[in-house]
Amino acid sequence: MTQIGFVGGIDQRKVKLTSGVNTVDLDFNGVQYTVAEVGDKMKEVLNLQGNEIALVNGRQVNPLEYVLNGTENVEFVREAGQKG
Amino acid sequence: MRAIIIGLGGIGTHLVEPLCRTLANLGAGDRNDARIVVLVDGDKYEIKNRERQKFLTEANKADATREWLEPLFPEIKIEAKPHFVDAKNLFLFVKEGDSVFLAVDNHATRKIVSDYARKMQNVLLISGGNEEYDGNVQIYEKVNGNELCAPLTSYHSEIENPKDKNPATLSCEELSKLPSSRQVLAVNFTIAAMMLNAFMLRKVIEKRAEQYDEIYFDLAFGAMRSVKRPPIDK
Repeated sequence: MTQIGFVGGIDQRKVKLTSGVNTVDLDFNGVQYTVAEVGDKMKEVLNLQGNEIALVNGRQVNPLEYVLNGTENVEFVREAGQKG
Repeated sequence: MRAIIIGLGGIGTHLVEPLCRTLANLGAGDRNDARIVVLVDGDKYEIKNRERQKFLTEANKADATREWLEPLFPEIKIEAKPHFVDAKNLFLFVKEGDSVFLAVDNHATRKIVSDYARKMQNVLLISGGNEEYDGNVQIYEKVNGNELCAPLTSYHSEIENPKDKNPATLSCEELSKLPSSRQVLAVNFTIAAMMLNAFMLRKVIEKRAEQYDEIYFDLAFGAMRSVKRPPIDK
C-alpha cells in the first residue's frame, strides 16, 4: 500500500500543505486523495482542529469532494486568535 | 494622520505607546501634519491583569491610557472614548482615511468593525488576536473604494459567524462573569509588534512588495508565517 511520505530527491510532484505556522511538502506517489483525507492523515503534523476552511491554490473547496492531483498548494485556514 | 485603537487590553496596552512614538516621529517639523490617536475601550483596568497589561490607575482604560501618554507625546492629540464599540456608535470613532487597530478579545466586535470598514472608501484595518501561545494578525486595506485584500470575515468563518458576544451587548453583571483565559505577556507583545509592523509597511515605509495580508505566529515553536489574502470574487 502506498503511503503519504515526505518529499525527497528530485521528485517535483508534491503538494504543499499549510496551516497556521506549519508547512509540509508531500509526495503522494501518484495516489489521489481528497483534501479531507489528507487533512485527517496530517492532523497532528499540522495541528489541525478539524474545523478549518480548506483552500486549494487560494480557492475555497469542499474538502470531502476535492481530489488532489498531487501538485497543489493546500491551506487549512487556522482560526483567528480570539483574545487580546 | 489619525490612528484608532479599539481595545486596550493585553495587546492594545503594549501597542499604544510604540504607536504614539512612531507617529510622534513622523513628519517632524511639519506643523500642518496633525497626528491624532483615538483610544476606544469601555472596560476598566484591574489589578488582576497587571501581569500582562500596562497601566497606572484602576480606571477606564481609554481615560487612564490618555492620562499616561499625553505628557509623553505632546505633539499628538490623544482622545479617549470610554465606550465599547457597536454597529450603532462606530461611526463616531472611525472616519474616512483612518488607520484602525483592532485589539479586542471577541470575534463579534471584529465582525462589526470589519463590516463597517468594507463600507468605507479609504481605511486601513489591522486586527490582532491570540490564544495561549499562538495568534495571528489580519490586515484589510481599502484605497479609493478598492479592496486591496480580503476582509477579516472572508477566510475566517469564526469571525463571519461569531459565537461570542460584543461586550456592548452585555450587562455589567454579565461582563464581570466573563471567563478569563490564560494568556502570556510575550504573546501579547508579539501581536502588538506585528500590528505595528503591518502599519509601518503599509503607511510609513510603503514597501508594497513585502506586504502580506495575514500573519500567523506560534511562540511555542518559534515560528511565523505570512500569507496573501486576495479579495474573494463576489
